[in-house]
Amino acid sequence: MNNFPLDYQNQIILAIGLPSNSLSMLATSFVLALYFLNPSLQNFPFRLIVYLQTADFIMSFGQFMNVFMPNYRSGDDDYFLCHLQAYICQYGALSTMIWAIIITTLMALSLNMTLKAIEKYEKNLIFMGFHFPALLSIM
Amino acid sequence: MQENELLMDLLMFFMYYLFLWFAMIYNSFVMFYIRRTLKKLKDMNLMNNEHFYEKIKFFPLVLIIWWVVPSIHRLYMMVYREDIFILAAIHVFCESSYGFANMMLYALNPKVKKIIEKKIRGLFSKEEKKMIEDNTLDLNSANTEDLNSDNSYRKVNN
Repeated sequence: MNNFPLDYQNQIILAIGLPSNSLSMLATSFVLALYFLNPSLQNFPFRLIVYLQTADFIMSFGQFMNVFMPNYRSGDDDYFLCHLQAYICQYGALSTMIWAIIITTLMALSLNMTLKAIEKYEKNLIFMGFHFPALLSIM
Repeated sequence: MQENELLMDLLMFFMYYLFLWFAMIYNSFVMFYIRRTLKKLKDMNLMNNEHFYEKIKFFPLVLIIWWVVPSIHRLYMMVYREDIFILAAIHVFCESSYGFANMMLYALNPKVKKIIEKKIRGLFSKEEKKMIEDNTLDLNSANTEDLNSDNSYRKVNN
């Protein structure tokens, strides 16, 4: 497979990446819609999943941005877009990882604490999951 | 030029993959600890209610499973300075479909499943809805008849 020309390989990778990114974006939008339309799902555990899915959506959108700049390697015109895409991808990926760590930590904490006690720290968790990666990605 | 490439690789390694591998290892250890503790609590009959863990236990696992191949690919690229196409393709697929995998887990949750089923049923046309209602009415009447017959049977026996 490595004997294929580089352009062809890039095309195949794009052909795999774009549909799966679109599918991911649709899937995450579906989860968000389901959450907002159903009050019975609006509790703390499901809210954590919604945060994770929001981060997933941002990451998928960042990768999907390839569609808007097919020739970004060839010229300087799309330099800004290229950096923006890198920032969005990095932010989405870091946020996803941090939310996965947060969910695991909360599961461990819930062995000794009640959910209501954990819920009090939600604002701090949002800072860790969304604001902290935004600062980190600037680097 | 090569120095720049090395710097970019190192930056990417520290800012992305180090985080990812930390998350994977941390999640594995904590999940193992939680499972063991919950099992102990259940054995001691101290755990009667459905735990928070049961609702979202697979989400950290998806991160571990979904990012194994991309990690192997990235490590291979860093060490051997060359690319394997099939690994790159799987890498792209896993990276892009992570959100979809999470959604599948979410949709498999019994509570969410019920709501989705309800919504799909809600999409039926009015006639179909009426038919379903009629059917349920028939079934209800049939059930009440059965119950009545059961009662009469009991009365005779008494």
